[in-house]
Amino acid sequence: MPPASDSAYYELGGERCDELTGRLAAAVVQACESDPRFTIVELRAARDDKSFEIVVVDCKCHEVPSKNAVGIQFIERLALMFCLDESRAPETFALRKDFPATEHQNATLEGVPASLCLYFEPWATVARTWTGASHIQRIVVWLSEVAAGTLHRADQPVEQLYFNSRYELVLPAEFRETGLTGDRVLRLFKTASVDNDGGLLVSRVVSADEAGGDDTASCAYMTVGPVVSGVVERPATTLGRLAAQLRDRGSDLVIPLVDAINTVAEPSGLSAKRNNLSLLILRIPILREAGGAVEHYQVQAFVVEQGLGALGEAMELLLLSEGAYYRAPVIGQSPYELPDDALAVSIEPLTVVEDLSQEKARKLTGVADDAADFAGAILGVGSLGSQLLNLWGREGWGRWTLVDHDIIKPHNIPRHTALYDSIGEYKVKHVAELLASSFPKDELEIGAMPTQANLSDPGMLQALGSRDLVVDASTTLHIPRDLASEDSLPRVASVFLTPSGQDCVVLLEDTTRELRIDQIEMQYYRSIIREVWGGAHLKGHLSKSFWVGAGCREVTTVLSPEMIAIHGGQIARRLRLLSQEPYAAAHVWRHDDRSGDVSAEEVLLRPCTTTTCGDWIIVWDEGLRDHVARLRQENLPIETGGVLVGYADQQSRKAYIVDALPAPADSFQSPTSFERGTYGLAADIQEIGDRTAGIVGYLGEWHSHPKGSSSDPSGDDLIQLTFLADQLCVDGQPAFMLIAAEESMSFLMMDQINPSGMYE
Amino acid sequence: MHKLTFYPVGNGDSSQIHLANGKRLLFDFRQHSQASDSEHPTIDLDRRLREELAADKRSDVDVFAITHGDKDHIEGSTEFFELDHAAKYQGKDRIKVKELWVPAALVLDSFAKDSEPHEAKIWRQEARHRLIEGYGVRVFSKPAKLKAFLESKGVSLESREHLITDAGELVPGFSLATDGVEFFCHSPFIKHCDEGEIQRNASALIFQVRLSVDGTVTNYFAVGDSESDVLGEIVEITEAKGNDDRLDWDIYNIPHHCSYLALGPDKGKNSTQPTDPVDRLLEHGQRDAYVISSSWPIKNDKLAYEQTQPPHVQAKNTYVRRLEDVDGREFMVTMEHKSETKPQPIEIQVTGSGVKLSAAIGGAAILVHERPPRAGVPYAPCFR
Repeated sequence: MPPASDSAYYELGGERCDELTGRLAAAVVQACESDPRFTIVELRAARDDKSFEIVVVDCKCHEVPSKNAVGIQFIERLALMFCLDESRAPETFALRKDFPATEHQNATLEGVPASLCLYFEPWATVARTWTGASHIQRIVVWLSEVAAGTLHRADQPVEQLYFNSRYELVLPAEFRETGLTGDRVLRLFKTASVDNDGGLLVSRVVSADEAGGDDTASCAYMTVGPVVSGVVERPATTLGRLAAQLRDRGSDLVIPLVDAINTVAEPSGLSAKRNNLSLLILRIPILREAGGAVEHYQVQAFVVEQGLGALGEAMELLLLSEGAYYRAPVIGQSPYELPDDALAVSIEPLTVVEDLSQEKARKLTGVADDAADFAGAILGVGSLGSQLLNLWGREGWGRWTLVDHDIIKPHNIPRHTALYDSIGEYKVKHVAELLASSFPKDELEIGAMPTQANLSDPGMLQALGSRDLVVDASTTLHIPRDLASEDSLPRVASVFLTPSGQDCVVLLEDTTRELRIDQIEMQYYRSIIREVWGGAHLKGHLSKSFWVGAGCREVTTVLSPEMIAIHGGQIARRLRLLSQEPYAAAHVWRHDDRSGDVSAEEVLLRPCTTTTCGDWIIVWDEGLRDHVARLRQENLPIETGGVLVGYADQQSRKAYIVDALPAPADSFQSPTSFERGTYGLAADIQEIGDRTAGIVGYLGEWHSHPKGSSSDPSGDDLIQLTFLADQLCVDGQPAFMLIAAEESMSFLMMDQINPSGMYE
Repeated sequence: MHKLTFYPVGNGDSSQIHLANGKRLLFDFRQHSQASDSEHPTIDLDRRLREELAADKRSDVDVFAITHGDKDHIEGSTEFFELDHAAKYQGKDRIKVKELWVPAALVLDSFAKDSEPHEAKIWRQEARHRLIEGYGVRVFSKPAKLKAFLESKGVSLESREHLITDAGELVPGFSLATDGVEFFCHSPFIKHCDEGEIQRNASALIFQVRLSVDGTVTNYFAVGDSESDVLGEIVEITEAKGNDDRLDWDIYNIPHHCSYLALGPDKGKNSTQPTDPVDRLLEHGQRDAYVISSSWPIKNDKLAYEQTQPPHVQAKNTYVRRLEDVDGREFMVTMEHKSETKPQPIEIQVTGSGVKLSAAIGGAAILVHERPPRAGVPYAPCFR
C-alpha cells in the first residue's frame, strides 16, 4: 500500500503518533486490529485546540460489488476522525481524491475529502450503543450499500447528492415543475432559525406586485439550458467551477445569471444594506439523451455569503452608488465572461426541501391518491367535525365543503380547533381557513357554507347532491333522518360521540344507498338493546349537561377534549377506511376510562323493507322478520307474541320497528289464542328506553298465527288493535300490530288521532 | 442475482450454482466421513443442502455434475441422491437429480483405475441407465468407446447425440437469455480418453460458466481436478480458436485443492513456477477477481513447505502473486473462511454490479443460527 501521503490521497493534518488516547479512537483501533477487513495505515493526532485523533485505515470490503457503477473500490482508504470532546460526532473521510460523489455524504468544502454520512440518528443517540466494532461495521455497510446502489439502481444515476448542508431551502413544487410564468416571482423568506450557522430558508412563488418580502433582493433564480442525465458531480464550491460544470455538460450559467441579477437590480437598484447573504437557485432541465425531451427538472441552490449587489459588482454588472447597486452601463458588445473576482466567489450548496402539497401530505400519511380524490360535505363543524377536518385535511383526504350555521362561542374553545380570537366567527369559516393555511396558498380546495343543513332548501340539496360523500357530524337526530329521505344525495355517513364521551359511532350507507342511514340507525338501536355493550353505551344522556346561556338550546355537556381527540382520530380513520369499501357499516368503539382500552363492536346490518300503512311507512328489516319467525316456530303449535318496540317519526311519518319482545312469562298461550302477559314487561321497556336515550319505546303488539292460518287479522285481533289505538291516542301515537303466519307477516296500524280506519 | 457457494468439505469439492431463476446446479458432493460430528470442521453437507432445498420447498436439484469419480468428489453422494437404476438407492428423503452431468470416462469402465471407489461404480450404473433410457443425463466428450458401449446395448450413438456435449461447445439447456447463464465446456477432450489407460483427472469436467445479470457479465472458471499439461492444452486450443474470452475469470475455483501440479511440474522452493500457458490463464483474471481453493487451511510454516499432499503453500504463493498482478481481491480457502474450527461456506453473489461476498454476519446474529459449543462437565478421565 502506498503511504498516506501518496498523491492519490488527501493529506491529513495532525501529527503521526504511535498511540491514541481518546476512548473512541482507542476502541476503533482495537476493533480494527481484530478485524481482518481493516488494516491500520497510520495514527494521527492533533493536541491543539482542535484536539482530534485519526485512525487511517485501508478497508477491504468484500460486500462491495466488483463492477459497481458507483465507483466504490474493494479497498478504500479512510480516515476515521474522533474528537476528544466526545459530544462531537466522529467523522469518516474517504481519502481517495477521486472517491465518487455518492448519496449519503456530508457536504464538504473544497480540499476536504468526501465525508461519509454513516448514521441516520443523531450522534447523541448513536453514542448510546456505539462500540468500536459497531463503528467499523457501519463503515462496511455504508460502502457496500452505497456501492450496490440500494436506494438508486445503477441505471438510474443519482442526479443530486443528498447533502447535510448548513442551510436548507424550502422550494415550492411549482417552481421546480413549471418554472415561473407571467409576473410570478420567487420570493425568499428567512425563518427564525437562520443565523450564521445556517438554518431554514423558505421560498414562495408570489405575483410581482405583491408587497416585497424582506429578502426579495437576496435571491437570484434562473432556468439554465438543459443537461443530459448522467454523471454525478460534487457541487461546485466557487462560481467559476459551477459555470465550468454546466459548460462541460452543454449548458450555461453565465447568461441566465447575468439576466437574473440585472432583473433584480432594476429599475430601482439593490440596497446595499442587506449585504451578507444571498441565494442562487438554478432550475436545470434534465434530458434522458441529447436532443430528447426534458425528463424532469433538478434544482440546485447555493448560498453566497455576500449580497447580490456585491456579487453583481464582482461580476462587473452593477455599480455601488449612494447605498445601492445600479446597473452599470454596458460597454461594447463583446461576449461577456465572468471576471476573475466573480469566478473566485465561494458558493455553498444547500439542501433543497420540496414544499408541502396535498400529494406529498398523502404520501407522508399513507393515504392513497385515488381514494383521496373525491368531493365531500360535512354537516356540523363542532368539536368533532373540526377535529375530523383537521385530520382529513392535513392528510389530503377529500375536497371538503363545510356546512354549519353556528358561530364560535367562548364555551366552544376548549374542545374545538377554534382560537379565542375567532369567537363570533362562523365555525365553517374558521375551520376552512385553518385548513387552507395548513398548505401553500391556493393548494386546498375547500368550501364554507355558513347556513343550516336545511334540506328543504333546493340550493342546499343541490350543493350536497353534487358531492360524493356527505358526513353528518351534527350530533342531531333530525339531520340524518332528513338525509335518509332524499334520493338525490350521495352516500351518507353519520358519526357521533355518545353523551358520556366514552363511546363513538360510525354509521355508513352502502354506495348504492340500498340501506339508508335511518335504517342503519334503527338496527344500531336493536344492538344497543340486545348486546351487553349496549348497557352503558348511551348512558349519561342529558344528565350532566349544564346551561351556558339563557335559552334551553344552549345546553352543552361536560366532555373532555381528550375524548374528542381519541374518538375523533378513531372516527376519522375508520370512516376513511370503511368508505373505501362499498358496503354499509355500523361500528361502535367503546373506551374504558379506567384502563384506556378501546374495544370495537360491529352491528350486523340486514336488508330493510318498508311497508306502507295509511299515511305511515313502517320500516323493518330481515333481522326482525327472522327473529319473529323463530319465536313463532319455537312455540308451535301454540300461538305466541309480545310487544313491538321502536319509534315513530312524526315528521317523516315513518315507524321504525326496532325489535319484537318475547311473550312475558304470565302470558296465556294456546293453539288458537294468545293473551300477552305483563310480567317484567314494564321493567324491560324502561331498560330499553334507558339504553336508547329514550328513543325506543312501546310501539304496539305482535303475535303469531298457527300453521294453516293466514296473517289476516282475526276478530279478536281487531278488537285488540282498537284497544291499543285508544290507549296510545293519549300519547298522540298510532297503534301498530304485527301478525306472523307460516307464509306471511302483516302489519296493521290504527291512528285514533286522525282516524282513517285500519290499514294493513 | 445468482449465487455461487463453495462448501468447506476438507480436501474435496462441493460447490453450487444457484441461479436467479431458482435453478440449482451442484458440482460434486462430498460428505466427509466425520462431517456429521459437530466438532469436526467439515460441513455436514447432507444436512446443509437439505435445509437449503427445504427452504425452496424442493426435493431435487436441476443438475448434479460429477467432475470426475474420485472419492473426494463423490463421497456419500450415493446415500444423498436418489438413483433410478436400482430400488435400493430410492427412498422418500433422497434428493432427486433432474440431470446428471458426467465425463464420458465415468461411463466407460475401461478408464477406471484399480483404486476406483465403490461409489464411482454406482454412479457409472446410474449414468449408463439414464443414457440407455435416453433421459436425465449429459455426457461430456464422445470417445469411440462410448459408441461401442452404446451399440453393445443395442442403442445407436446418433439416437443419444443430444445427450452428449464436446469440448468447445456450449451446454444445451441453459442460455444467457433464459437463465442468465451459459456453460462453455473446456474439458474433457476426446484424445484424453482415447489414449488408452488415461488418468481420470485428465478427463475431469472443466467449464467456463458465464453468468449475466442486467447485462453485467461475470465469468466463473470451474475446474475439476486437472494438472498443468491439461490446463495448458485447454489454453492453447482456446487461444488457437480465437476464443480468448472463454478463458476470462472473475472467480477461479482452482484445481486439485491447490496442488502445485495444476500450475507446473515442479513444486518449487517458495513458489511454483507455472507453465507458460497456465500463466496466461492466470492473466485472464479480471480486476476484483476471487480465487477459491477448496482445501484444508494452507499454513505458512516449514512443515507446509515440505508436505507432499495438497494444499501446497508454494502454489498458493503463485496464485496470490498473480491475483495481485491483475488487481484481484482475494485468495480464499474453503476450510479457512470465517473460522478454521468451524468454517462457513463461501457465498459469492453475482449481481448486476459484479461479484461480492454475502454480507458477513457475526456476533449475536450468528449465535441464533449456530449451535454453541457443548456445555457440560469438564473432561476429567483421571477421576473416573
